[in-house]
Amino acid sequence: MRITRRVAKRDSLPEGDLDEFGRFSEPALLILISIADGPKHGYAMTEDIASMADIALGPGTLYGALARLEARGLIESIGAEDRRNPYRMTALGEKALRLRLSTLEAVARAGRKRLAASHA
Amino acid sequence: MTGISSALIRMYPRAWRQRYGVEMAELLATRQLSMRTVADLIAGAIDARLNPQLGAPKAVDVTEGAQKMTNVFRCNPAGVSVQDQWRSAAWMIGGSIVLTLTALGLQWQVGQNSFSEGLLYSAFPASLMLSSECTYLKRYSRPARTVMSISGAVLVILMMWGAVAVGYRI
Repeated sequence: MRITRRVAKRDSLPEGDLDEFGRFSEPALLILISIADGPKHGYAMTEDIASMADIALGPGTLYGALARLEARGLIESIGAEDRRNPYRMTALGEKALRLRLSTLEAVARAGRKRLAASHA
Repeated sequence: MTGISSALIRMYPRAWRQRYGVEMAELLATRQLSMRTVADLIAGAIDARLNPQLGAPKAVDVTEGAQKMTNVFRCNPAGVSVQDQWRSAAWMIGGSIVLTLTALGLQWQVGQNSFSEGLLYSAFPASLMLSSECTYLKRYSRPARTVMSISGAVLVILMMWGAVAVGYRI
């Protein structure tokens, strides 16, 4: 029963959903947030993510997530700049980011509401 | 970029290195290589090999398997030139002569012993392992080839020594 439900959930995942990224889903989300205000290359992303979320993404994790995002059309390279390669978000990437952020907002709202109820 | 960084990047698949290798090298050049970074890169390389994100699967030519088998039987692995085959032959003949002479010299100096006898028997197989550096191991990096061929030769000598030592006790 549980397996059937999980398969059904996986099959109904919207296009570009970050859940299919497994352990790379959180780094992928952070990357999308990082480039939401404009293209960035790898080094700029790691610096931005470190200052924004206090998370130090290792190079293996960063490029593992970048490869997945690029393979699924959520980001695209805009051509090499010296030896660096900036990436920008595609329309599909923007849609995936909005979807994930709204889910997180709903979860955060529910969490806050329940905490408030338990202290009331 | 340090030698360790480039060795770590070489663990990734070729297609991946061609796409992201330069960028990653650039990123690694900006930071100190810590144990955490090394572990992250190793995990990333394993992931890249298990879950390749790049390129569609290559269409398999029906003659590819037969060609590969023919090459193996002809002792002609891909990428091995005639010059490599001559080098390989030189390793086999030269190595066999050097190891045989060493074993005979040892026997002459210290008398009959299991090590020199084992070395005598393993002269050719150990040289064959050394010669694989320029044939069967050609597709690997130079340091990897060196380590694998020398380790193989040492292993053969140790096994033969062990076998002779056991034979002496029976």
